[in-house]
Amino acid sequence: MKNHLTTEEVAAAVAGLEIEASVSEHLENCVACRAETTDLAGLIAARREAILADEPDWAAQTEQVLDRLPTGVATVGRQRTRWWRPVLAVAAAAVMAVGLGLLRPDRSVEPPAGEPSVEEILAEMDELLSDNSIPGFEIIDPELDDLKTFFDNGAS
Amino acid sequence: MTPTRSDLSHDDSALVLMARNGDRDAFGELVRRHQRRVWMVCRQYVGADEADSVAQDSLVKAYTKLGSFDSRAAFTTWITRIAINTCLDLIRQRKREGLRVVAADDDGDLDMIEQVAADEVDPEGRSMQLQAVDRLKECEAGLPERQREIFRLRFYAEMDLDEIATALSVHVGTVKTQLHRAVHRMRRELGDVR
Repeated sequence: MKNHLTTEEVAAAVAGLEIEASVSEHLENCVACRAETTDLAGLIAARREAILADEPDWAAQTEQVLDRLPTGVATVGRQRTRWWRPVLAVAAAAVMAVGLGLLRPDRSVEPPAGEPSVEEILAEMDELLSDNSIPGFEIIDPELDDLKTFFDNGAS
Repeated sequence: MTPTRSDLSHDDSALVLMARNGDRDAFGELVRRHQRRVWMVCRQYVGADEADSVAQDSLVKAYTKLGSFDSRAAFTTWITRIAINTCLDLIRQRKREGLRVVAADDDGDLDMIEQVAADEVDPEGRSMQLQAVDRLKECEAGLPERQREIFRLRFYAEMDLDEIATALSVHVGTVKTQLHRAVHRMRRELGDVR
């Protein structure tokens, strides 16, 4: 049979930690070791009882807590104000804009010397497109004019 | 399904759901179920004089944070954690302000012990028990902070090991080790407590 318990084993038993089967068995059979554990546990329990003797009036405490509750639905967690989110979004947009060059104070680009400006190129394109003498696309296969035929895949 | 007002016998999660929707009776039931634990936890951190007010603060804070409660967790552990954090905030605030934090050890427990002991044992036995409990208090006060905290949560707030681990955000193995060291040290220092 196992010898008397060590202080470590007594401590483990009092603390309610796992103890070996042999320790448990010894505790069941040894009056001295059992008394050692129950005495220490009893002392701790006596202190706890003393503390509890100091406990408040629970019903009064409940009333006081309920009186102090904020009005409305308790949804702070769900409606938590994330003030930083819009700030972060604006900051991110600003960083992207700077990266893309959109926030530069002067966005006009001067063409190199001798080259036409954008406005001149666009005006030239407008002029070309408005000239009806330039031939457009012609349907060279009359069959293609019939879209039904064109898209007929044989299913009809 | 949303529980109704008459369902106060429901489990904590159902009551939380009701309280979230503004049912103060449901929250009152949660308070009744957990106020003793909350007070006991506060009692260990801030002492008898302030335990009640800090416990109330913790319960009110819990109400305002109900929306963030994850119903997969145990409500009792969640609210215990709020109580611990409220106590630690107060202690930190007091320290910043240079005020003395009343230790839970030196706030007149002995009067209560005398009162309890007087009802239970003979005068000689009472005297011995008073001395033994007094020595226990001294040993407790001499424990490293973490060991003392875990010892008190385990034995006075009657939390199980997993709950303590969750509430303190430590591994359960740490709780076991620290608790064992605390009790072992007490056993050695107290000697024969009979």
